[in-house]
Amino acid sequence: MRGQRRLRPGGGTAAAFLAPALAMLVLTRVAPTADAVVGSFRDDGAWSLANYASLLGSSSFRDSVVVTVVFNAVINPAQVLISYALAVVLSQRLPAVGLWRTMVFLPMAVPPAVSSIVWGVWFRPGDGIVNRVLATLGLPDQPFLTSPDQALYVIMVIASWIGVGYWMTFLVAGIKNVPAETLEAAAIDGAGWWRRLASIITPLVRRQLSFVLVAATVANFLLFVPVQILTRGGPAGRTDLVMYEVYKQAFIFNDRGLAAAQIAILVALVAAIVAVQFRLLGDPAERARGFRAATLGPTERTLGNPRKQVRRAR
Amino acid sequence: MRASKLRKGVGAAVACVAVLGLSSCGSDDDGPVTISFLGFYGAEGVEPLISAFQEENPNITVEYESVPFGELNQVIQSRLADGGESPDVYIADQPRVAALAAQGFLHDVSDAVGDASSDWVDTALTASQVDGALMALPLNTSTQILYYNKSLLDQAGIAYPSTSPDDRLTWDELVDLARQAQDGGSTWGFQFDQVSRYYQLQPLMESLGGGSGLTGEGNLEPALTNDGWVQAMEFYAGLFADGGIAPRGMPPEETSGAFAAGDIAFYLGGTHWGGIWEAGGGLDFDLGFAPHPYFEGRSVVTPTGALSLGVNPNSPNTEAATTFAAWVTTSATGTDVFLTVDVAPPALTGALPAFIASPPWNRGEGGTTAGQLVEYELANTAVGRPRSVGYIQFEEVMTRAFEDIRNGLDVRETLEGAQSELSDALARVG
Repeated sequence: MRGQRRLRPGGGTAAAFLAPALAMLVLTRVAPTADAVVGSFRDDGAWSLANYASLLGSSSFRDSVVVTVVFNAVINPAQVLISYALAVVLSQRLPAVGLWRTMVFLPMAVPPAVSSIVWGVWFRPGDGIVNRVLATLGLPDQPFLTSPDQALYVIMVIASWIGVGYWMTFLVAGIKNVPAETLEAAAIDGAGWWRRLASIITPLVRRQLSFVLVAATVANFLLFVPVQILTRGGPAGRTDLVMYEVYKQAFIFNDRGLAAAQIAILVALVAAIVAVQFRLLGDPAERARGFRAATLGPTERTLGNPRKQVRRAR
Repeated sequence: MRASKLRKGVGAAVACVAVLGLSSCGSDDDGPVTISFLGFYGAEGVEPLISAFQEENPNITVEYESVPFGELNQVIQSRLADGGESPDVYIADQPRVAALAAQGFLHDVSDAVGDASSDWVDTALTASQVDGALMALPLNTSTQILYYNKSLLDQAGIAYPSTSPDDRLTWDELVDLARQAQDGGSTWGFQFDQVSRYYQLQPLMESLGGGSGLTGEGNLEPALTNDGWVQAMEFYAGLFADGGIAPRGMPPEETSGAFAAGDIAFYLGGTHWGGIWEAGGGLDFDLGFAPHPYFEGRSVVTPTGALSLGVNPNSPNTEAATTFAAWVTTSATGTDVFLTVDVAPPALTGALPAFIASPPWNRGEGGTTAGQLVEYELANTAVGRPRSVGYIQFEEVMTRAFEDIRNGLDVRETLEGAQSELSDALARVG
């Protein structure tokens, strides 16, 4: 705060330094979004609601929205829980802990297309590795990606294999920030390991957890690669995430107007859910002061300004 | 500062385009031109074609770019949308010509070939025309042969089916033979080449009177739930059901390899495979040829249609691009060398006799050669895919529906779902 006050007299200089970043932000973020929203209201060169009308009338698009919501309702809490569990375990004093953390993080360094193909082969019915493992355990062969009941969950496993290591690094950083003396004091007062986790560590990494939940939500709503490579929305439309619908309309059917309308609906849906998440997760005391993002990662760009989100949520 | 640099960059790009445009506006001897050519053949295979062309046209350099067959159509869609200038020439799937033309992705090439159009196989020519204008240059055509592995048939004690179109197996007879082959030790009895693709399965529905699946003005209404379709799809599902003769989960890209490896007794596959296996020095077993099966008492229908060359109308070099496309599809050297790139039957009728006399088409059982069979099918039983500006939507929806049916989902429900999805999609293009 003090730093900001000192800069105020030279407002022009600050603006000059900020200008390139702001220009890029407008050029690469604001302009495409505005273009998509405007495009969604155009049809044959005239203003029209035709794109939205045909989306609302399309049962396959409604199904796709349902699939997307179900997918996110399961995968986001699961990813936060798993990455938090991994972070808790891997912030303990373990032998070669750096190596374990690297191994959990490593899938993030593999291109998603490659991970998808590899997992696709592993999950193949009949001769895939996963089914062979199940067979040695005496379990029957599973159809996985060819089954309408299992395919979406297989996509969740693949997406989480990639995602949890990444989210874990934020939570490890948060846990490492918990003051040792606080934990020590709690231990002296007789708090056991679980009690320290529940009453000291978890409340103190609340902000990191909120960030991870919000960032994971955005990332998973925009998930696309495993669906495009492995299922193309099938079987029976059960993996037809809205993001894949957008791709299909824009790049297979070349129906840019409809794709733009789908994008607009998707963005509105994500914004609404993220706003609710901030509302539910924000610390009341902190909300009174205005939310400050605790940790800013590469995905923060896609989130917009969290402070604004909170204000809007109110 | 960054903004002004960017503007300069854009300015330079515009100037560049303008210069390129000028250089190709005049006649071909104006100076060297480089054009890009997009296809799915391996770059090594296309090399001789490009060298031969450049030798005759020293001012035009062709740069070839290869993408996998399954991605070709999506790459074309994304690259040509919004007036993309590259590629200059591309491989266009014949049933997509109408839709590509409607999107403004094809340059009218009627003038490039003069009266050569009468020299093309009918189905290939009509598939490349839109309202009488030639929008793409037909490269080749296709039919399918029921290939069989003689070793696996010997092992099961099955007599070789004849190559003659007069002794055609019914589907029921084929299923019996495939089961016998499986009992005799073959891993799988039967497999389709392009499993779950419309090209491959259209004959099933057409043979049972179900029609192409598209109807109405401009073929823009789906008709997927009639008895012919349901019956054909029930039959299809049965081939892959538990204890069936064909495998699930094997994508089209893997079927020919599985047959060549000796895992499949009967393989209903494209004519190009025969040529590819022959060029590779033959398979580890003797290859047999039989006609495409049919449903007893119903009409005989075989798939057809293949590829054409399209010229990008937004290319700054349409003239050079058209010169190249016309050379490949109509010149003696071009068509000749192209047969080494793709071993499918040529669309140019004059080039067909040489094709059917070449190995392996000069072989066959029962006094008929496979080449004579190919000629018979192209002339008598071939039914092209429906021409519709909504073909892209149709094929995309059908591929997923066929795959769902192969994986055991309810036939009628799947077809009804596809019908509804397709109605929505076609309403957008009509």
